[in-house]
Amino acid sequence: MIEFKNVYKTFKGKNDIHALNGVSLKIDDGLIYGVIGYSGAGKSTLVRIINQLENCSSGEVLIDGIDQSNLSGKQLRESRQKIGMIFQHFNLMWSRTVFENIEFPLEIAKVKKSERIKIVNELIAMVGLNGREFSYPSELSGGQKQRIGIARALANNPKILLCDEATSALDPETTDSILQLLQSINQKMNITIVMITHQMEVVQKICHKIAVMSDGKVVEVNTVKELFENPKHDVTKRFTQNLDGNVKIEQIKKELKDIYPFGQLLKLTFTGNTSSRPILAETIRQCKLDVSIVNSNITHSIEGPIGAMYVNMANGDATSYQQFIDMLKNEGVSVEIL
Amino acid sequence: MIQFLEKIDIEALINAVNETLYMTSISFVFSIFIGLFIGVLLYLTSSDGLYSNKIINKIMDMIINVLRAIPFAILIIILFDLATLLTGSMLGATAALPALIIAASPVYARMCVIAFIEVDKGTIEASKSMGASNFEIIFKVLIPEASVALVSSASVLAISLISYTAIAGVIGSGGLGNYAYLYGFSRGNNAVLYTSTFLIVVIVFVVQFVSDYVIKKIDKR
Repeated sequence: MIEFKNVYKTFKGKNDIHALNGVSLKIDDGLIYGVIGYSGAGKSTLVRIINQLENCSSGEVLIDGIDQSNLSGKQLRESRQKIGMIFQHFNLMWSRTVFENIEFPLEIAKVKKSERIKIVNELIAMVGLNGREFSYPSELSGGQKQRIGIARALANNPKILLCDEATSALDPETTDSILQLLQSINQKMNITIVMITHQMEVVQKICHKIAVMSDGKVVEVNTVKELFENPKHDVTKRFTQNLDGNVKIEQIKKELKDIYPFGQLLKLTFTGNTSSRPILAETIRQCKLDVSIVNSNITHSIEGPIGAMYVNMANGDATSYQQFIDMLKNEGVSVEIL
Repeated sequence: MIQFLEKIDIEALINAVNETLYMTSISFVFSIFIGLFIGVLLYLTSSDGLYSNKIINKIMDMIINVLRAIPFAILIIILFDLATLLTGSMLGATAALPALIIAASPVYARMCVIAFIEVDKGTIEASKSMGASNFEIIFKVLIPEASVALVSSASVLAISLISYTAIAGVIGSGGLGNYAYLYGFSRGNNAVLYTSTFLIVVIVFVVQFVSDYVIKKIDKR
């Protein structure tokens, strides 16, 4: 377990920067833990304090009960070998091949050559880079580079994997494949993953729990579903609203009123606990309404589909409209009449 | 052509080439090691270095700047006493070595620092996160990742050293510079003057060619 106890971090300078203002947080073992926040919220500092790339100005950071800031140089280096880290810009060594890059942490840990070869080959197979062992990083794509980063971070069989904006430099498709890889690593190796990002769609896809950060503080901690269902803090609301696709609803409402004067616009919010049956299709069939989808932004999270959809009902009467709404509500969809 | 060659003492010419190569290569090897060592120290003690130390950094910085500020022709004269003390003579190729090394090492140290600054900070942070010691970071990360700039700086250094040896030659250390000045210029023997110059240019070209080849081999960026 990783535990932050009232951690403060100030970067001294002309104008002191208060990166962390009293963070207390517990990260349980085996979770994929997301930390989300806008730039400057202190996420990077938070993750760097876990492996002491930054030390805290006050407060404690405990890993399995051991205060990381009090370790000697040698103890700290040994502790770091059990904490893998991957980076936004991969931070590979251009002068080493894929194989040698992954081998590097094993050299640091003084693993024997024969053993190193075995481990590196296993890791290369695991991250799907077979055949690229002797390429140089510059010859590979961003996604492949991050796979080297992941393999390298896992070389010493860590208990914790820190991800610093690990997918921010990748395109959406590559992001998905990297997230899947991280998820399978979490399940297979039972590693705690702490991932910081400013992308809601990244954390919601694989994170069991999310901490929202703003101005050096953790303002809200919850599961994806709870954050989405009732976000409490303004920052959380802004993040979850992004998932609605920033719909300019007033404008759409006006336009639709012109076409369907008797229609009714609804916002359907899926919060993950709905069944996998085709709810919408079934409901429409039974109520015999003309339903058109105005805007939809549904994505998958580990708790099922979440997101919002705007639909317009038309060619029905008040009773059938009400029936439609009730049926959806019964299926666990929250309905808002606009 | 034959007339031209007759004016040249082949044996003396070969001897001069040997002396130039001797002075350049010995001083090159020493200044590379000393320069690299000082360069690493300067980098480590810089404000965001691994062993940040303002005082040591400032002192070394000043020594380097002073040594670099003194023109080589003057430095070699100033160091006559040191050369006599170390080598037993103030003339000859070996006597020029202390001055060559003292002049070239700070130059290479400065070029090393520039090469190290260019190394991606993220890569160094990543190695720290893997538990690498500072020693491992220097030898397994910093120097290999700076290798291209280190090699190309080394070729610049070697070429500077070749021209330094010519200056040293004029003052009496032997080599092609000495041969060109004493037997060529002073005695009005243009054949000697131009041949020596030509050979110096050839040596410079060879150095540049080798350096380009090595860089092509090691640059995987």
